[in-house]
Amino acid sequence: MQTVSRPARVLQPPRPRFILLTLALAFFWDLIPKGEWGFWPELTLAVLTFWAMRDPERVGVWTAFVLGVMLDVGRGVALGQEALALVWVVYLAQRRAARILWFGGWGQALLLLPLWLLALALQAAVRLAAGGDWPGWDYFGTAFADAALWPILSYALLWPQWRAVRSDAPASLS
Amino acid sequence: MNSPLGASPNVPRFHRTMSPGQRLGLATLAAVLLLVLDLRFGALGAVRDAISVVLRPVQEAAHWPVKLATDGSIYFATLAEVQAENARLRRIEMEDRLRAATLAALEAENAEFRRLLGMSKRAELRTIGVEVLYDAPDPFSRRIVVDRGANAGVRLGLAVLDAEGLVGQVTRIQPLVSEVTLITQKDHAVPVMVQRNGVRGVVYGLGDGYLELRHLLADADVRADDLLVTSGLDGVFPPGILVARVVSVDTGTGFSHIVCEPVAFGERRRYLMVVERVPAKESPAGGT
Repeated sequence: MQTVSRPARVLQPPRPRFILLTLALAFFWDLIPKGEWGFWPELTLAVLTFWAMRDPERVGVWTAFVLGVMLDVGRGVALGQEALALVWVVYLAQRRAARILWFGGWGQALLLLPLWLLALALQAAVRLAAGGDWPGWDYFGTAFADAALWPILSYALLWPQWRAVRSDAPASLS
Repeated sequence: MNSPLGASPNVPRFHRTMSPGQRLGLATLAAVLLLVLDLRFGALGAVRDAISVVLRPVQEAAHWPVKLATDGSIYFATLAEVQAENARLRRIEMEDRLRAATLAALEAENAEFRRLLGMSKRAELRTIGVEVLYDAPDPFSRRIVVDRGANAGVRLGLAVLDAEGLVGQVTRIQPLVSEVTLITQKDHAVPVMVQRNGVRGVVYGLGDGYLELRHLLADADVRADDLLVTSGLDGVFPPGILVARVVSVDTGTGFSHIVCEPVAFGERRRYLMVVERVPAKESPAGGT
């Protein structure tokens, strides 16, 4: 998995449709009700972080905001809660992208873990301040699940870009 | 914020190239604004509904895996389990029939007395059977989602019961599903009275599965093992539904600290009942 971020590979620019598709799939996964267990990964968080670092021109703070609000509505939680968290994760990930992407999959996961924990902590702070129930410590398991998944996930999301140039690929928008 | 708003109207405030910091600030502000409006003022129902219209098909698709899993587990329940349950249900049905027969007689009698006393008719109850679909995906609250919504006549604020007692209250409705906040949710309040002597109070959810009875007179007579029933004073819940059993009464500090536990199995039950109090149509006394 170390090859993921080796700069030796020349990456094709990601296709907007692929970004959209992966974000949509992640969003769909996050809408599936999963019960009490806290260690389900939150894919929107992870996929968004990935694209925020890899394609900051297209995926930024506002993408995070819109996705966050949609997640809030879809799950019936407080409006703006996930949006706030995602916005901060994207901002911090983009600021540190150069440093983070220098590492391999597990290194990246380790550096991203604090950001994801922050995202969960932000949401907890907001909801607890508003009189919510304490969700238990396994609530933070989501961040660890994302970190555990990160090497495979980033490999899968990067894969289409480091394949040979496809002649049938539509011209990039940028 | 050195330049005041509107100081130079010709210069656009939002360039295409806002710095990342500015974008973050603006997005944070927007998110916080949403949170305050939603949590503090509950003012964003329309926004939520508008976005839900777009999201609903996606949501329903996302619920398929859960539905498959639960339906699958029922399909594979063993015959012995089903037979045992069937036997149990038959026995309960027999008992209930007997009770229902007595109840009908009592109801007629009660109505007659009320008429004689010139009291208004008792409100009638309308019930809707619902099935629990799943826990709401919000770790900060105790809510469940059930499979009947506005289309089936579920309305905001209705009481939700299981066979034992009060489970919660409908707090959000959609056409096909609705969300029930459990009485154990932190600070969720239900007006109750002690079944034994009619002492009134309010039980609040503590967020840890227990409830606390508050707003009692200082010398109120409440003991452990007392049963609390809805008082019906809120005009929403029908009176007389079992809510909780008093676990401990602590009057050590001058204030009474009364902890109760809910009698309903709510969270673990699959089938629940939404109950609506329908006001009686004509009232002989003319008052309501």
